Amino acid sequence: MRDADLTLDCASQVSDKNPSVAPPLKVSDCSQITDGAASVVLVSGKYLDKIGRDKNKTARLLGYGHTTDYLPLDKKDAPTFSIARKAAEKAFRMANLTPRDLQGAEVHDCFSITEIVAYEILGLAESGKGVELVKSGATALPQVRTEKFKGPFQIPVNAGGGLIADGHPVGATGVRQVFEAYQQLTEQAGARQIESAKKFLTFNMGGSLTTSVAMVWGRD
Amino acid sequence: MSESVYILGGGRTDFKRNLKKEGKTIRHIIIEAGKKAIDDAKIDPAEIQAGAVGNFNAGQFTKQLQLGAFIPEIDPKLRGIPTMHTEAACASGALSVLLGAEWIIGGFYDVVLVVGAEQQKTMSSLDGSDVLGAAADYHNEKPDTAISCFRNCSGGLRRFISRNTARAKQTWRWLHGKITPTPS
Repeated sequence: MRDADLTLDCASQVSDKNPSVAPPLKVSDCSQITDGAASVVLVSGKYLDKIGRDKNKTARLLGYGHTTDYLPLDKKDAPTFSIARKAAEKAFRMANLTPRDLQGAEVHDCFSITEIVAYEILGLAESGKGVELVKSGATALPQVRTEKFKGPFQIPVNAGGGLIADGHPVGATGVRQVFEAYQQLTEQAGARQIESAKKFLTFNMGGSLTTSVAMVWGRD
Repeated sequence: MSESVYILGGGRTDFKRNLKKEGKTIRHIIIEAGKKAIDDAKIDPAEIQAGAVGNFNAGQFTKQLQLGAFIPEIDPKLRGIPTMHTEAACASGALSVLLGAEWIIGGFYDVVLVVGAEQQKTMSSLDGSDVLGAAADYHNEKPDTAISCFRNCSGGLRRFISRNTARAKQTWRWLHGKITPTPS
């Protein structure tokens, strides 16, 4: 999708090039059918000591939350999604951090609206204020901003384009997000590097927020 | 946490690829991504004690399951280690990371390889949508056609979507996508 010949104006409206899928969602609001894989090697602190690697030079899991809701959407409490919220709350509690302590996040945006809903579930924005957060530019990479950001809190989200622009090979996405967290925290993210990223959130969800997994990663 | 969990390395494939056109299958990208993570971690594959594979629906997309069996094909030294496959629709990948992390936290293993993979470009969009419908309540939420299953889900969300919402969000994400070529 990132190579698609589509301008911002074109992406914002229904046209032959950008047809409606399920109103108001257009093709450009949806992640695409994708082939792909992602991988990580996870190790214990004990193992790092054993092989003499510096723990401060890599990413550590600081906290996580994992919850499961009813399967049908109409049995969930939309738009609050209290069960998904529990996953995020658990992750922050375990990490002893708040959303304001983060420098970046990878958030599940299978559809454009999903990311807005996720902002509110994760506590990046108050309920009903997800749109304002986006409009403020707080979730944009500083490198791509056209105007100077003046807000009190910024958190670049989906620096690599997320599921819509990068791709969504379903089973790979959650691992890809964690690999991105690792690259950001170890300053290997190249053009999409978030400056001084020390604490990073990943949020992967399945179905209509049926299974939710939030993880907080950090570098000491 | 009783034992800390660290990421020692990782890798990914370029999500632009079409495996069918390359004459490849999900097997090849599990092997490819697995090798990349081990190379990036700079460890001997023999150090890896267990493998977790995240996948949603290879059974329907590719007619191949028991994906843990591709872990030994990453390196012969991985033959014989325990592997498991996790599935929770789009959260399948995060669950494989959690499985690996909880193995370490619980003291079962010290070095775990996690691979998430999906091959979807194997069928028509309509058939693909039907397969994705398994992520929802397939037999109850799926009304007349496969596509309308997703239509039904998005209809529920529509209550609190404004057109501006999607438009504002897109502005930023498209810019990100443009400047950030995926690492191979």
